[in-house]
Amino acid sequence: MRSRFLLFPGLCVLVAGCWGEISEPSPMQAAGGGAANMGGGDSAPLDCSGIPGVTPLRRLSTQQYQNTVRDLLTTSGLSSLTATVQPLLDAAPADSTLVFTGLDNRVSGQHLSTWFDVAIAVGDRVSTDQASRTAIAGACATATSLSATCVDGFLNGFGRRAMRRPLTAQEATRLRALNDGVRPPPEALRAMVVTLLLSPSFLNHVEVDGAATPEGPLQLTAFELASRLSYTFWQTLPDDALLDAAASGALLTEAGYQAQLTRLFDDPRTRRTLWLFWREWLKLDAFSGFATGRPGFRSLTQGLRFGEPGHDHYADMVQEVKALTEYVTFDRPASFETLLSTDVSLTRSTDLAAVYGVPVFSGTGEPPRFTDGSRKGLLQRAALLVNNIEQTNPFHRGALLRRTILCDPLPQPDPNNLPPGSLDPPVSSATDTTRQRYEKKIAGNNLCVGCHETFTPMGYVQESYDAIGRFRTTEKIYDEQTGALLADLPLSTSAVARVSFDDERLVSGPAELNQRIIESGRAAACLAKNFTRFTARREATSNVDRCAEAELATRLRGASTLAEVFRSIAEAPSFRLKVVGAP
Amino acid sequence: MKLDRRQLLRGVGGAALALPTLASLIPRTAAAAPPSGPALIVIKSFSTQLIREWYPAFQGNGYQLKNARYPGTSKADGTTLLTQPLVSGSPYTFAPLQDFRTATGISGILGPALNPFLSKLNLIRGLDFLPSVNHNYGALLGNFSSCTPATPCDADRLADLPTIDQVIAYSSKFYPTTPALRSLHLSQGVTNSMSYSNLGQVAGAVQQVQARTNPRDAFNDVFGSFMPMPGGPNRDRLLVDGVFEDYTRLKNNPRLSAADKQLLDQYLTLLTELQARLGSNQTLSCTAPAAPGSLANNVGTNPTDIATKWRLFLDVVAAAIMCGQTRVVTMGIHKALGPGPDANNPALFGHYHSEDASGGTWHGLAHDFGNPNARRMLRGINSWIASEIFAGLCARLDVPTGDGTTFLDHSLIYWGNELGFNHIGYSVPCLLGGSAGGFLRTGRYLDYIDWNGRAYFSQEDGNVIKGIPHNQLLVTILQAMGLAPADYERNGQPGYGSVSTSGRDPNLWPVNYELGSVGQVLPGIRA
Repeated sequence: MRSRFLLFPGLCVLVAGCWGEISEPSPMQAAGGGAANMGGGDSAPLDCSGIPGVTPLRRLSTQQYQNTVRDLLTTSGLSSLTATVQPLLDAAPADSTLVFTGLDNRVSGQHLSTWFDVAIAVGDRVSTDQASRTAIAGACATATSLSATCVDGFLNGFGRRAMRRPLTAQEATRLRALNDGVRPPPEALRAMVVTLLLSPSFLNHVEVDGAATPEGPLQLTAFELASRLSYTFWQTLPDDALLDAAASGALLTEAGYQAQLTRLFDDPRTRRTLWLFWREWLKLDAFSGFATGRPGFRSLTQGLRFGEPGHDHYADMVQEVKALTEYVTFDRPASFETLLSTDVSLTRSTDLAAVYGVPVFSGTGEPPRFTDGSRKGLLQRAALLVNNIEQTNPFHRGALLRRTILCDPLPQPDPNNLPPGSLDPPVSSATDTTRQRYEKKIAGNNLCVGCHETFTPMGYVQESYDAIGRFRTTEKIYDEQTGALLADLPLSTSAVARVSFDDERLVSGPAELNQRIIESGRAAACLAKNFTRFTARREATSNVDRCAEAELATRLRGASTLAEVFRSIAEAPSFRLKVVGAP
Repeated sequence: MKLDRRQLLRGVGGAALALPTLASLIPRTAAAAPPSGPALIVIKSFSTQLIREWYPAFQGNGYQLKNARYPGTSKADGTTLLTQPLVSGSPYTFAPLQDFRTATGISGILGPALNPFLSKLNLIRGLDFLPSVNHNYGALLGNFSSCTPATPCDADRLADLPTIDQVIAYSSKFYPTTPALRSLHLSQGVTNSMSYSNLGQVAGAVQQVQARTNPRDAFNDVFGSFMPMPGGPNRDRLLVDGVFEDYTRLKNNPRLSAADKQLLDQYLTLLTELQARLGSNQTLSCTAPAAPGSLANNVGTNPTDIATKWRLFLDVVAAAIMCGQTRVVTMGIHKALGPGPDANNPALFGHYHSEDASGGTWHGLAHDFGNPNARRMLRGINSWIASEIFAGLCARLDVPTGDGTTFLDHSLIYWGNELGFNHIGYSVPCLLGGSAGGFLRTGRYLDYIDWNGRAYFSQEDGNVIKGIPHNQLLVTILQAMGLAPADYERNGQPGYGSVSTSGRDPNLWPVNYELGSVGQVLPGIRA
């Protein structure tokens, strides 16, 4: 009976799309420069003069919109409404996770439907509930007619929070006009609420009011800067303290800016934002679950309670990554190198601890450690190693490192250009390890070898972990249909991993691979690139952008703590600028 | 009956309204009147399709297999040889589907659940994607430049086009007045749909449409449409008018780029639609079904979750069509049930085909097509789609409209696949249900492959022999929905969708097609 792989995408990755011979520099190396340097020799320094790339008009991401509505209601005394509004917020279209969700700028009828429903729901509550009217406009809202003072109070409170700035004279005039004497006060307030919640300045990051600098970009106004800070670190609107700092001008002083930046960064909402970043960068939500019904998988995980009710191993694995990133960023502030090399185990899950063979972390005091050297740092945590069937996929693992962690382009082949059979999975065998089967598949196939050599060896090194991320020294081969153990084969995990493309040294195992990744500085460069992209919600398009990434990468490679680096994103001069694209 | 959207939405906000299915709540005569026009429902499956399992392999009653005609060649693929000419002077052939009816259906994949509807189906072979595609989102609806980010292709270089469902949904011929919902898009697990839209703005940016993954959201899209408030003019219409002016003012700000203004144009288009709905006197033409409970996007592959959600989705689709709330629907079947790896275990597994073809077991099975066990599972997945999704939809819609026809007759259900066999864009399978209100002749198996032509390439199920441009299916659907060439043709090019074969090696693939007829309906398919 044959036992074959089921999961086998991207078997043969295109040569032409890579960079030919392995000894050649990648296109990014050839382009040179800073954070993007692949570590393959000298490269010309970037010219950092010029202006940042264009900042496009962006709507609030779906998550930002949901946070903004909830926080606006809460800070406006309408907390009781959040339960009513939540199902409507949940119906907002999810942003695409193919890159970062914040880069998804589509608008659709589904968006408008959600925005409208939410606006109406809030407006209706205001119109029908006297307490809500009092909350957002004061006791004057209960009078038989709304005074101009009362309306202005509402506009300066709820209106300012919603628009993240004082209303312009034109906006105020238009909203005041809704209090036309025909509409009774509840209806007038409802109309103003609905209008504000559908306003372009509520639903988008509108930055058009700054003064033009001599070089061309707009210097953000204090309120625009407050919003940028708030959405960068909190994914929601500025609180009143930040708006007040903008109103007083304090935010435009260096001391005032730093004070607000510190306050924002220390807020729990920044933790949530940084976790969003890690989750999206590492695509931790993309795993489709373990195939716990497979006989082979059941054999692999015997005694570990995979698939049993109340036992979600993958959730535990993701939680461990969250705990680890927060531990190094906030709880025991340390460098990126520490994140990549620490041997602490922070899992509080009995199930995951059993997979790892470590004690459960109590949550206080010193956490347990992987004392046997089996696992170090972020990249060797189970969430980044798992496959959903009983066998590993070294191509996937290698591609994850090459593409996601090192930011190297790794295009898939166009199957139309491949000869028959190129994408067929390797023939299964009870006498070959997974690595051997994969090696045989591409051996001698010149169309595949050149590109596979750039990422597959890293996957082979990680064969020290099985499909659930458990450390192993031999590979157990199970029958796909019966789950019977067919063989227990010795592993080979040494390979020329080429973390940097000119590094021809043999890597003996995952610990050494990890060290090479750290030494190369290339994961730091990749993190810098992605964090910049995540926070700016756009791609780097100018040398100034790339220089900012390079600066961040330099700090990540140095002694700076992760917290310092993440915070520094708001300290770059370009953070306070807006560049308008071609008219 | 008039519904207040807010009342409805408030009602569905609570979990207490969770119901197992809507089907029992949709009266068999739910609609008060026959539909106002044809409906298009698109079903998309993924990765390789097992061609030999998809098409009949029937012998007897005068039929023989291709093996008899083409022994020892790749053309001897074990499927039934058709001999009746479809159109004189062409190599195209056909046969009545009833001829292949057996207790197990008409093929390995098209099982017995379809038997009651054979007279209303068209099974089509030989539709070729001319552009060189890979895993993609919208090729089956005319956007060939939509290969997934992880699997780029030559066709990516082509300009994005709206998919035909969106061309139809924004056509004033199809919807003379603003409908409750222009189109409904459904999926499980993946929020990017197969559809691309410019919101009806000819020069507007084309963006991918997002799919609903929660039946409650789908229900709200359909039945939470903007109904007028009881009594008097709509007070919200005036507010939206003011908001429209706000967006217009912002658009005139000189500190916005052309791209920014394009985004604002999309807002304005959407607001215009909202204004139209708020200003209309739409009423439901049927009894509104009860709302389903919320089932959030399922990230796993629990079989019960998958099956339950598809049942609810199909109920929403049927109710939407029968109530006239929308007449355009797409469904990306990223998740389906099928057998597991143990052939002796009858339990159905959940299978997932991820958006970028990098996750889930389904795509892996597709790559393992040479393995009989993988083929068994793949066949099972597609059989499940045939019986539970396609036939399930047919059954829900085969309900009298009151004019002697059924909603199925008025519809066109199009089951297409992401690709043909493996990653081959040739001979992409197609099953059509309904006649689109009599536009199509039904009940036949149409084969557009020139079997006497050159077999360029073959791999397992994947015979590459020149067929007919898939573009002609697009034209067929567009015209079946009531559009004329002037409504969809661009830049003087006949038909719809690219006919570029750039990047294809002419030694490996057919590239020379008769493009003179690319703007015409598929030969022999019209009633």
